[in-house]
Amino acid sequence: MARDSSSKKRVDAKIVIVGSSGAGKTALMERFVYSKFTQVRVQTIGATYVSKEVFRGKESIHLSIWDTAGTERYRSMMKQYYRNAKGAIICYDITDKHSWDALRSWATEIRGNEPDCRLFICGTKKDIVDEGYAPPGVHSDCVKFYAEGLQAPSIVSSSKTGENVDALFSMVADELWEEVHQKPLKKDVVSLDKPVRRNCCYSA
Amino acid sequence: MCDANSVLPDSKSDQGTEPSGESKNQDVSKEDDEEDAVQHKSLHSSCSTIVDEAEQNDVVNVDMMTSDLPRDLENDFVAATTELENEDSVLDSEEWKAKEKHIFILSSSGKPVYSRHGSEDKLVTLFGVMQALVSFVQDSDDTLESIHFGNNVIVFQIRGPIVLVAVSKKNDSVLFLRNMLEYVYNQVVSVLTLRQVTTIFERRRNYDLRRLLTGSERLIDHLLTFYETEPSLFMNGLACIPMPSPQREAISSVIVSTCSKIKNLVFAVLVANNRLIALARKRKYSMCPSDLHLILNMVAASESFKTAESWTPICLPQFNANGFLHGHVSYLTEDCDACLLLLTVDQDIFFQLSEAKKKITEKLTKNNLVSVINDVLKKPPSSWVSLHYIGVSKIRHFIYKCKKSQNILSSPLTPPYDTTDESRKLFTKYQNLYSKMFESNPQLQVLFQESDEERVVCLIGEKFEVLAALEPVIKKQSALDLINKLCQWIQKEEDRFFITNVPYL
Repeated sequence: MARDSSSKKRVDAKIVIVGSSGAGKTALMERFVYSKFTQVRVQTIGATYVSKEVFRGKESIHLSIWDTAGTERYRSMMKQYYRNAKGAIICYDITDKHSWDALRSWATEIRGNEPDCRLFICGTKKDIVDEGYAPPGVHSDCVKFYAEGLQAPSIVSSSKTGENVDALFSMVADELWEEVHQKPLKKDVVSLDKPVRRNCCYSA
Repeated sequence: MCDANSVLPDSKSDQGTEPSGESKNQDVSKEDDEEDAVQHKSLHSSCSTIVDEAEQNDVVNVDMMTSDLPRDLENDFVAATTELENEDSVLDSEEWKAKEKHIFILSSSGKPVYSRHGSEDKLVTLFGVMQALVSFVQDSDDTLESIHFGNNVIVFQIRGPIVLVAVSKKNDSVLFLRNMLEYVYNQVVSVLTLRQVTTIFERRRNYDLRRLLTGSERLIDHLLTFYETEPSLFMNGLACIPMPSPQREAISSVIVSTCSKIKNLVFAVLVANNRLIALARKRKYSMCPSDLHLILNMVAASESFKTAESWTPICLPQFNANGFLHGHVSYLTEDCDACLLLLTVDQDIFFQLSEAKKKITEKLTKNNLVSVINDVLKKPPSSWVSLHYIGVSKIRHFIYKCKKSQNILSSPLTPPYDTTDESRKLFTKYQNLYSKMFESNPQLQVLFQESDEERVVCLIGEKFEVLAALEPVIKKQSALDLINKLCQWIQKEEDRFFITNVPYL
C-alpha cells in the first residue's frame, strides 16, 4: 500500500484466481510463482496470498495474486477476495464439464460485482488431454464463443508441464499494463484525491 | 445430556462446585441408561432385524428408504441401486468390518454426510438404518444415546439437524466416544459456522451437506486420529512445547508489542508439532482448549500453509459458533516449523497483519529467538521429561493436567508403549478409567486398574489430574507416593512446561 507512493514506476495490481474446486487454481499459482508442480493437492482453505513482480522494460508490475478456495462453502465470502481486483483468472478443468458450468457462474458474478475487473479464462490440465488420459469435457468452440461474448481472452494451460502458464500471466500483465498506461490522468486524480490506503479497502 | 458433556471439560478447570454438578449429570445419564436398558435391548433386536433384512433383500430396503427420503434424492437412488453391488462389497468387506471404530455423520433426514472408513456413498443403506433408529426413539419423545452389546458400543449424538454416530468394538467408554463426536461436530461447525448449518437445514431439510463439506473430510479424518493419539484432546487441555519461561515470555512480548496497535485482533497463536509455543489474547477473551485443538488440527492437516500466506476463515465454536474469525496463517520462516496465526474479526486487515507478521519474524530473528524455537523443536519429545531423572522410574508413563491453566504434560511413549498398538491400548485404559472417575458419585479421588501388563492409576487432586501407568507389581501406596513425587517435581518445573500467564494483546 505504502509502496504506491514510494516508487512511482511500479504498478500494483490485484489478481484473483477463481474457479470450481479441483480446477487446479493452486497448481497454476504455484507453477507461476514457484515454478513447481505437486500432483497431490489438498484443498485450499479460504485463500492464499502471493506476490510476484513482472518486468516491462525498466518498470514493473507488482502482481498481488489471491489464490482462492473453490468450494461452495466459501462462496459467500468470495466477494472480499475479488473486491477491487484488476483482473480475475477464472479456471476450469478442460476435462470436466461441471467446472466449465461453474466458470460461467463465476464470470457472471464477478462481472456483476466488479464491472471494471478484467476477466481471463484459463482451461487447465492441458497435459491430461494431450496425453490422451481423458477426453476434453468442453468443446473448444464453445469456450471461444463464450469468451468472445465476455470479451475475455482465453488460454489452455498445463501446470504440470508449465505450458502456457507464463503466457497466461504475461497476457494478464500486458492487459493491466495497458490499462494503467492508457488512463494515466485518471489514476493520478484518484491517488491525489483519496488517501492512498483506499487503494486496497474502499469500505474501510 | 449432550450439552452437559460439552460443558464438562471446561468446567473441570473451575475447581469449586462444578464437578459435583457434572457428576450429577453423569449420574442422571447413567440412570437413564439403566432405565432404558430394556428399550435398548429391544432396539438392538430391531436393529439386527433391519440389518438382516438389508442383507437379505436390498430391493425392499431401498424401497423402504426412498419412501422416507426427499423427492429430489430419487435420482441419487437410481444411482444407488445400480451401485448396490458396491455397497454390499463395502459392508461385506472384511477390512471394513475389522475397523475398530467407525464414525458417521448424517443429516436428520438420513442423508449421508461422512463416514470415516469407506465412502459414505456406498453405505446409504446403513445410514438409513441409523436414521431409522434415531427417529424411532424420537417418536416416543425420547433420545437414543447409546446401544451396548458385548464389547461393542454405539453412541449417538443429535445436534440440531446433524446426527453423529460412533461405533466402537473396543469397549470404549460412552464419555470418550461422546467427546469424540463433540469434536467432530465442532469441526463441522468450525468449517461452516452453526448459523450456516442451521439456516441451510431450515430452508431445506434434505440438503446434501457434503456439498459444503467437500475437502473438509481430511480435516475430520485428521482430527479423529489426533483425538485417538493425543491425550490432551480427551482431557481437554493445552499441550505446550517445553521452553525456559524467559524465552517464552520474550517470544510473547515480541508478538504482543508488534500487534498491540492492531484493533480487532483477538488471538495470536504460535504453534508447532501439534503444540502451543506462545499465545496472546484480547482482554476478556480466552482460548478454550477445544478451540485450540481445531486450530492445531487445521494447521497439521494443511501442508499448503507452508508455501504461502493464507487468509483463512475459521469458526471457533467455543469462542463464537455463529461467526468466522479470519486468520492470517503463515510459518515464521521457510526453515522454521512454527506456524503463526493472527486471528481477527475484521476481514479487511490482511495486509496489516501481513506487515505485522513480517515485523514479528524480523524481531524474533534479530533477538535470536527463531533459532531458540528451532533448537527446542529439534529436541525429541523423549528428552523433555526423564522419569528416571526424577527418580520415579517405576512410573512408565503419565499424563498430568494442571486444572488452573488447563495445561497438559505427558511423558514420552517409551517401551512397552512405543508401538501404535500398545499406546492405543494404554490410552483406552486411561480414558476408561478417567470416564469412570467422572461418572462416579460422589466423585472419587483415586482409582486403580490392575492387569498383568501394568497398574493404571487415575488421581484427581485439588490442583491437578493425573493418569499414570506403573509397573504391575507395585503396591497401591507406593504407587501413590511415586505419583506425588512426580507431581511435586512438575509443579516445581511448571514454568517450563506450561503457559501459566497468557499476555493481553
